[in-house]
Amino acid sequence: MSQQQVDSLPTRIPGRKPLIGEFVFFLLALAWPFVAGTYGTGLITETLIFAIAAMSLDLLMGYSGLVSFGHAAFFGVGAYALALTGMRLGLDPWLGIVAAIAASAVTALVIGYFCVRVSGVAFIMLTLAFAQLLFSAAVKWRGFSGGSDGIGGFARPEIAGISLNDPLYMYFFCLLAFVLSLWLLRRIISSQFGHALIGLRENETRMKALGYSTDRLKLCAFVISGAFAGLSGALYAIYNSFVSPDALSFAQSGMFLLIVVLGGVGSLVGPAIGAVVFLLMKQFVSSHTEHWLLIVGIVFVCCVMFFRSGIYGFFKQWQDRRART
Amino acid sequence: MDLLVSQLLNGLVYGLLLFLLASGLSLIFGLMGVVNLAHGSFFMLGAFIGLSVVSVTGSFWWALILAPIPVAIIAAIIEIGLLRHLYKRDKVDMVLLTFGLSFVFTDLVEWGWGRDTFSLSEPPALEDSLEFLGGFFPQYRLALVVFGLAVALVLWLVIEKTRIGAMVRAGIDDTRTAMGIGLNVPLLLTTTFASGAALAAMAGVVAGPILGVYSGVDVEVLIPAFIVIVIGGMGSLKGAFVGSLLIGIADTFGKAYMPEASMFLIYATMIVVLLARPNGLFGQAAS
Amino acid sequence: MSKTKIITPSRRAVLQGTAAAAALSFDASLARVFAQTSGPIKIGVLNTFTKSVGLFGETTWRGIETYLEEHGNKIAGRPVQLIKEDDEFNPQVGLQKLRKLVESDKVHVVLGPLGSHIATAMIGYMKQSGTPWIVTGAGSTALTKERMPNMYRATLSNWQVANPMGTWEARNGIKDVVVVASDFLAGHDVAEAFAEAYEKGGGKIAKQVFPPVGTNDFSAYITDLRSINPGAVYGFFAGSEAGRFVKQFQQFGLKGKVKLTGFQSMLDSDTFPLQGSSAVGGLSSSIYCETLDTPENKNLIERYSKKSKELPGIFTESGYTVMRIIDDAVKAVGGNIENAAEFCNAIGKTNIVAPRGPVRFDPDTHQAIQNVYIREVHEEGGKFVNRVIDVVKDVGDYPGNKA
Repeated sequence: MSQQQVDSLPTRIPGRKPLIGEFVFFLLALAWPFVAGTYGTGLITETLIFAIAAMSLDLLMGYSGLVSFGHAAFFGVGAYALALTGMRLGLDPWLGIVAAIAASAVTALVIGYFCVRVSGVAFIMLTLAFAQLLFSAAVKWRGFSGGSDGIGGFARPEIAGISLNDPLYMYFFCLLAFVLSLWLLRRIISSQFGHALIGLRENETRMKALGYSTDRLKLCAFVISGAFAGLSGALYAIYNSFVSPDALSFAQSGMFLLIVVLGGVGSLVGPAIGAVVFLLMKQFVSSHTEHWLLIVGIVFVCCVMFFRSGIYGFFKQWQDRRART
Repeated sequence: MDLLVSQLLNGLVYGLLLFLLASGLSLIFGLMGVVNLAHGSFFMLGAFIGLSVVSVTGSFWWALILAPIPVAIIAAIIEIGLLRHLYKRDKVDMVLLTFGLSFVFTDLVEWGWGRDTFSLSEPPALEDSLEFLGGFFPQYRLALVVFGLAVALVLWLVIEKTRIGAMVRAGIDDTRTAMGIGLNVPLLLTTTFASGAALAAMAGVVAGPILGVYSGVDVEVLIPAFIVIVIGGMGSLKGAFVGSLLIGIADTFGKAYMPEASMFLIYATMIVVLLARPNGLFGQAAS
Repeated sequence: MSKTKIITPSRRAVLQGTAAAAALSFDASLARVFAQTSGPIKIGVLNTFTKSVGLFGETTWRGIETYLEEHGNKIAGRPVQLIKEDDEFNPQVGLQKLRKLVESDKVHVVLGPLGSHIATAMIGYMKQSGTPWIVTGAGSTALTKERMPNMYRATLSNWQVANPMGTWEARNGIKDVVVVASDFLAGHDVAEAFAEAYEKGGGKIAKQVFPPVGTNDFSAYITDLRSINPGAVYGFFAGSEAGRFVKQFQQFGLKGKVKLTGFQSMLDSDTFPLQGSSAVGGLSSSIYCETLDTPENKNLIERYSKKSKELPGIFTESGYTVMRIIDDAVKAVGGNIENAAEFCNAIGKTNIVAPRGPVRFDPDTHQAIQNVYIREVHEEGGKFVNRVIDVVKDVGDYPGNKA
């Protein structure tokens, strides 16, 4: 990334204004299911699930500077892991979620091992190729993955005696997962490891000169990112009671990328906002016009051209400008 | 007809189709460092515009000649209006831009023509099947092979033997020096991008009778095209040619005889090449 | 290759649990009897309107419209509101749209889908929700094994249509067959049903091939077919894939050398515009034939001619007849479609003569019981039509589902 772009990335300063905004958001999130109907609750549940995946991609893109076009690989592996362990091994869903996180983390370890060895365009192509590899395996290996039909027919599980079939409980379960993920990721970012990652993003050569094993750093970022994406995938499988190769597709990777850039690369909260905006836009726009893809495309192009730091970055700059005057 | 010969011919057909697409992609990358994720969209636009030209003029040939023109113009506008401003930025931004544009094009195509799967018919002159070597082979596909080889030859001549080609090669090899010796690089870049788009559009028309014309075709051809240029080498015409034929033949044989594993093997090959020779078999790093 | 999946203990528990939950929620829906019997009847049409099979969704829709136009857009005196949603032949999208139809639009009945894989993905949700569901199009044999009280299949079961064809081909001198089917649930389902019947009749399956969904260039497969040179090819493709396969079949010189046979969607009124003369001579089995000489069919043809210059195909007839079934059932409950349980019971009592012939439902599995016609494609005065060459009457559900 160029110096100019790096400078424009928002950095986290804890204890400042954002806290009020977050508190408001949290209250809204708590109140939502009682205000919206079943359908609206389901929508935001899905949004929260994608937000976790988007934040995990941001760890790679925004904080480590690794632009992955194959993030669906980790998401999809998590989803399939949950479905398969539940259906074939009869695992309890709690264990299923743990299995999903582990499976995605291992996938990220393997893929990351190879990807950190290349950079630039080759890196983009490699992440894409690995995701497509998994996608084609899922499509063709009917006996294992159910092929293009996917795996379905499992009911939402019970967790701690509460059935997730109830949209309300499912919503709060995902909200909890989201808040936990956000908190954990923030802690990771503000840790020494996180600072090393940011240093890596800003100037890899300098980090190497300082004695850091940049490959090892990147690999760690991959694994952590993969783990959270796996959690998201598992929740998605539970939410839909269904998994198909779509979860591993290029379109899925593209969607995550879109959400992160839209929301604001390198801000963690930004991608979460991006997920909300994206999914609400899809709902709202597609009920009025058929051309929501066009609008998303145009908004995205504008983001890349003019608002490189996304929605979050835009508001932060606006806020900073107001604070200065 | 001997089974091997038939399948080889089939592979050649698909491979040359891929070449028409991948050649533009490769040149664009080589000269501009742009991974053009909208390249499939140019292919798709060409096919749809071709469809309309046929419905107005009734002639496939007019479609082939005319369809690339508006696509080239659109590409030029994109380059001048949007892409140009991103050269100073990280290469990733250009990839993201083209990615966003692909959504726009998909929607515009659906808006203009609808979301069905359309059929582009072969020209009446090439509707029959030729009987030779004891078997039947559609005339149109044979013509495609001839056409594809001819385009490959012309491209090679232009790149290797003409001044423009020398400029493009210079630009690919060393952009800074090229500018230093007075080449109008901005014009060159616009021309290359537009030409690549025109090639893709032409490929769209040519592929119409075989692959069909529908709004998802852009992604379906883009990914194989990327596999081709990764394996063949980004920025190399020879690489695009060799890579296309390899993938075309591998895909054809794989579909018929190793359906479970063929796709997986192709992606695995792509990965191995990326790791062992990131610049592909014939390519060089973009400057 | 066994069709039944291995049922692990937890899966059995899950299935039992959902069955119990479904029973509970269905009783709960008995409570959904509000007094509102004068508002519009909301019918959710979940089908595929885009992609290669989009044309089948469109023709189903037109069939629905044909019926409504014939009856002044009213059912049992109440106006009808159709809500159209496209599942893009993708189960993920289908589930999203389904949720919208049931939770946001609050439809009284869901019609569709087309894709068997989508129908399978919908099972869990529909069991949970208890909303009446009439399947149109999706033929997965195992669907009716679920025995959902709120689901009826008003169209074919894959076994129902593929099995008689297998028997027929074995009996009619076709020595060996290569099966080519689209690589998804329905394709495998059909292939298995055909192969089982054909082999039982003494035939030999030379090879089974499954091109991926979305294949448009079949040259590699057809060339391979040519080298095997079987007595017949039995194909299952849908939409534009069916169009392309049959066309390319002729282009590579196989027409006339290898008999072209297939499932109903391969050689149908809807695909003839794409296939032209390459379809002539092709054989298929189906629950409908557009040239049936009955008053019901003549009526349909006449009404449909106002919408399209093509004769109605199987999907048009499906849309038309499912509306007839709903109409009769709503009348039977005095217009009170809100009473889901009664409405579903009324559907079960259907016993009509539709354009396709007699239709009634299996009392246990809710599969439509109907005739299966063996049809041949003829060219008549520049147009292409199917003509019935044999009939198997009153074909029911797969016996394994009844066990």
